[in-house]
Amino acid sequence: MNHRTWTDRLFDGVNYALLALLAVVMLFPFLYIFSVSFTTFEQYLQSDLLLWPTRWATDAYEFIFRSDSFMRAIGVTVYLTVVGTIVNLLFTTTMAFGLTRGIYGQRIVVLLVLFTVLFSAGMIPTYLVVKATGLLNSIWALILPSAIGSVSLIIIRQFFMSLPQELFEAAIMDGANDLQLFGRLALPLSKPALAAFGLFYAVSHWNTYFAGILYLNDPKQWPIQVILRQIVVQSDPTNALGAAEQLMLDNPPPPMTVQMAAILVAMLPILLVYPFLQKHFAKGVMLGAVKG
Amino acid sequence: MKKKWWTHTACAAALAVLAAGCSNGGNSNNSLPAGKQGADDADKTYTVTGIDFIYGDVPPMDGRGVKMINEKFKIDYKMNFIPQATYTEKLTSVFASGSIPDIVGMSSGDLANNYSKFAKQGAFLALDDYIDDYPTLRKVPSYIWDQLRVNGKVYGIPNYYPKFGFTTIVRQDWLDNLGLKPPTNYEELKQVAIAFTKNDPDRNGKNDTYGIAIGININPALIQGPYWDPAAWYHKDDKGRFIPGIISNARKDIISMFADLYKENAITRDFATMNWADTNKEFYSGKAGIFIGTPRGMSQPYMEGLLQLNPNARFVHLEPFTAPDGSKGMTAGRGFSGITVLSAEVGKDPGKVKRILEMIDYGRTYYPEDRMNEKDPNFDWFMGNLGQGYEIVNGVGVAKKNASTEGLAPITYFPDNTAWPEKDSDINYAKSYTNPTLSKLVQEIGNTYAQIKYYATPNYSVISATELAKGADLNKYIFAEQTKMIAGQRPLSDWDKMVEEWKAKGGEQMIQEINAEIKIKDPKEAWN
Amino acid sequence: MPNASATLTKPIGKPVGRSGKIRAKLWRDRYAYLLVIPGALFFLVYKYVPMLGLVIAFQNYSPFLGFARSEWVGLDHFRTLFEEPEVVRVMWNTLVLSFLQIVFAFPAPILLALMLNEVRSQLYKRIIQSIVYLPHFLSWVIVVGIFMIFLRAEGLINSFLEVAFGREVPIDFLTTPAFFRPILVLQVVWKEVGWGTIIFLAALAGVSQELYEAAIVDGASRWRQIWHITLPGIRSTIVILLILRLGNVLDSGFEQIFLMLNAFTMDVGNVLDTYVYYKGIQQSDYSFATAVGLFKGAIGLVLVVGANRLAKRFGEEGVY
Repeated sequence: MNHRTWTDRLFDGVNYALLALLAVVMLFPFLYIFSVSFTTFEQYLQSDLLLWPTRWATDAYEFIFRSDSFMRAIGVTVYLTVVGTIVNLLFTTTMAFGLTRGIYGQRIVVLLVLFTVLFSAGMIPTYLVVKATGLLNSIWALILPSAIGSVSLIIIRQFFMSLPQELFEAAIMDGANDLQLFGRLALPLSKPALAAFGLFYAVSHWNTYFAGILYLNDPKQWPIQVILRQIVVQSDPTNALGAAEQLMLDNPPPPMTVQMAAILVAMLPILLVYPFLQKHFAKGVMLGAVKG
Repeated sequence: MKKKWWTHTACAAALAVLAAGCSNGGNSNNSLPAGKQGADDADKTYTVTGIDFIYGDVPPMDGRGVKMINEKFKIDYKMNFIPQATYTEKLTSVFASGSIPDIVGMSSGDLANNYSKFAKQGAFLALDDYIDDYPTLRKVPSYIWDQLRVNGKVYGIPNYYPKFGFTTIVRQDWLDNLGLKPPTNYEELKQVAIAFTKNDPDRNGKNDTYGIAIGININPALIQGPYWDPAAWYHKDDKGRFIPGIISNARKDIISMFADLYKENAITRDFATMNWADTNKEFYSGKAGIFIGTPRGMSQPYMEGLLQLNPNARFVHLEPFTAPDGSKGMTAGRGFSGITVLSAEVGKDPGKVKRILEMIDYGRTYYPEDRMNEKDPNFDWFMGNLGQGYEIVNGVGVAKKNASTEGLAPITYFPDNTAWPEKDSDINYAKSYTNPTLSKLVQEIGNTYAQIKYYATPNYSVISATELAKGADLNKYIFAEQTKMIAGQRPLSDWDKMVEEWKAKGGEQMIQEINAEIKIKDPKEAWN
Repeated sequence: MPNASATLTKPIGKPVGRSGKIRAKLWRDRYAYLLVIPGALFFLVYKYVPMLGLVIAFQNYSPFLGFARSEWVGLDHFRTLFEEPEVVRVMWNTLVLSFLQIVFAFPAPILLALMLNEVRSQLYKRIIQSIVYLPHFLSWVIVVGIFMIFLRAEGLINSFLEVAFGREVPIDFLTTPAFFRPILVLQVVWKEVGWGTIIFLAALAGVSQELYEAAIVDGASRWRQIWHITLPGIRSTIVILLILRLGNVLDSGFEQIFLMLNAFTMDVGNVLDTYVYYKGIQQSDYSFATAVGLFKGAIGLVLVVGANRLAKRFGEEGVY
């Protein structure tokens, strides 16, 4: 029954307005990036803040799309993202659920996981282990060593723990074992969490850059961010060349227009994924699951 | 039972890590017993591994250029190019895992750090005995070899880099409009900067121009001679020791000038927050009229952007200023950028070493302009054959646009592909630009550079432990203080106090360490 | 109703003797072990074995010499970290900034998630959601660059002030120390608030609709609904995230701060990470960085343990 009082309407109105304002504030810079990417270098030089190209030019995009390496890298990255995310969710959810069943040593294991949130070994020791486990120069070097995010594990575990007990009790009465509880109850009920963390993991894979260079020698295996960041040289501020060197390079960094185009292209595919996941964040996904 | 097998895995993994981290036996593929000294089996194909950094696109590992190299030198060439931004991390990891490639590229920025550290630890092969055997190595002057010496031995081959630096360039059209001459000293420069700010030099009726484009860390500082160069060790303190220019009184004068100009809004007001790209934009968008330039590596897109906005823009460069002590010239750069080293491991196989050096030497060959075409078979091969790897532009062979990205030519794959000329002026930079205004400017700068004298700052061949440990910190501190002085937030009268603070932070130590090693007594000895 | 013990309901087994009980439980839990083992193996091999490498914090590690041959220096690196009087100021800056971030940047996504949750139109909600999470994908280089375009003395905001209010002297947003921290927090909020809502929206999706329906029947206003249903529904998520956030209280976003620092704001802006950077950079000092990492972890551990205990006292489950 849609019984809305005027306070309700006011509430809604203010809410909608604030959200719209926020959206504009967020969108603003993208307008800038978008415009700079679709214009000529001279135009960019002229204007302080370009919000709409007065002269459209697709030079920047042509520059980016011209290479085979670009398309190949996209393929690599799609594979990496899909397979990687599946591996992530598999490892994370199984372990998270297993740690809610009250096994011996459960608390210690959770503590050990927490420990890894605070302490990490660093690049060199991890590299040595990756090498020792034979993963160098394989795409699995980008998947297995990061199979579980410790924070994700902790939070997903907490999500599992907040599922309604009654459902599990009922299933156990019916003779379900832990595996069945996991697969038939916990997972289906956790769609929002799976969607959220699936997205997090996917974005993380999509953004793989450093690990790609570190573990893979052959440029043919590199994911898309490596290709793109060859363009946006400024992406590492600490490594920004001394002014002198940057000016005297034999291949100076591409113009800002290309860098902006690279930024958009780098973001695009993952942006397209999100709307599909949004339905899992709708209210009351667990409708009717618990009755009386 | 389950516990046991994964304990085993863990132990195995742990041992593997320790083993990898501990041993550094290296990856020698073709070790010959020591008795075969000097033998280079001409029929033997060597596997040559390498790692090097690269700016821009990384070529494929199996490009046409690689195949050509393999054929010509009878090697199986496996060079890994790594984007420069992440090179240090990759290099460190590769070293840590115990497998050092045969050829390693390093940047000259690493000279005091990784290069010298690893050389001392025995990671690289000493090259002294080989220098005389290869023409391009013989051409390297001793003052450059000296910079590469660690414990008396040379461990790296320098990649050529001109020893000239930047000079100030000024909008000639603005000078003309205001009836001014190019400045010949800092006082005149100051006046020009103010005039550019106040007198509408582009004659567009708007107050939208100013003098000097400057960015973070007071860069560019418009250095017109080693006398004023913050990085050169030219001046001496009252104890007779060489000191870095950044704490000298000459620098104080420059800072004072900038402070005055700041008050007049004649330098970039936001300079403290402008990065290099932003600073360039100030000049190339026509706002500022004074900036810097140099023959090698000017940005054609920036220049063309400016010319589109101001088709009448003209440029003049400034000759070095005559200093109060009568000196006139420029601080010499190191003369190289980039170092190529060979691993100590590969030294065990003299035949392989010779093959590698042969290849490296080939890549450093200098071709005079009239031989930069298909008539010289070496050039033609090096550039990947006419029509495929390069084309003729203005009578000179120029790489095709996609040649490096697709790896069509051998040149892309050499660890050192910069020609080593007899003298700096042998290379005609003007030809590398297609824009006539830019070419002309570069030509004029080059002419000046060919005639001036260069100051070999004595700290180049000295490594100071304190500089390594605290250099970044010291610079951060002193640039911040001088920035504040320019912006009027710290009085210039505090200069001596600032120098004392800098010294207390480690500057004094650094001065002592460097002076202990400097061989010359007087700056005059270092001019050539 | 939060559980005091972190387990879900299990059937009660037959009473047996002690060791029999243990074996019975192991057998009963066999599938749970199956679920845990792969992940545990992962942690062992890829997280814990590498931790053996933390030893370089006590060495002058050289990658060429490796762990075995690198010089042992004990606590030297920790001494270097603390030797300068500057370090006190640096730690203070770090903590103040972290505190501000927790107070402002932590709740912001929660607030936004609540607002989005209240939107009736699914379409509107989706559109806004898709827009507000965009800034997360930009690198700090871009974000700082954009903020600078606005905030410079010659930037847009000052131009606007001049045109609209006739203000001649520009406000030096970027070079005035007092503005530094607020701008920093604002940047973080702008960049991450949208993305941060995802996890709260996921948590909100689990709040039963029936509770709302019952509340409406009882005549509860929107505010009361939020206060009594929505917030409690995501309380455990908030608590856990807060505890974890305390774990990296000494992290302050190196890239962002490095880009924003300049001569004038060094005093308030130099944080632990930038301080360490300037100290160690020229030597590519992995040993030093590792030592600092250990220090940060130790502090984080203390805070997390403390916060977790506190949470449990309030009836929350806590992280462990």
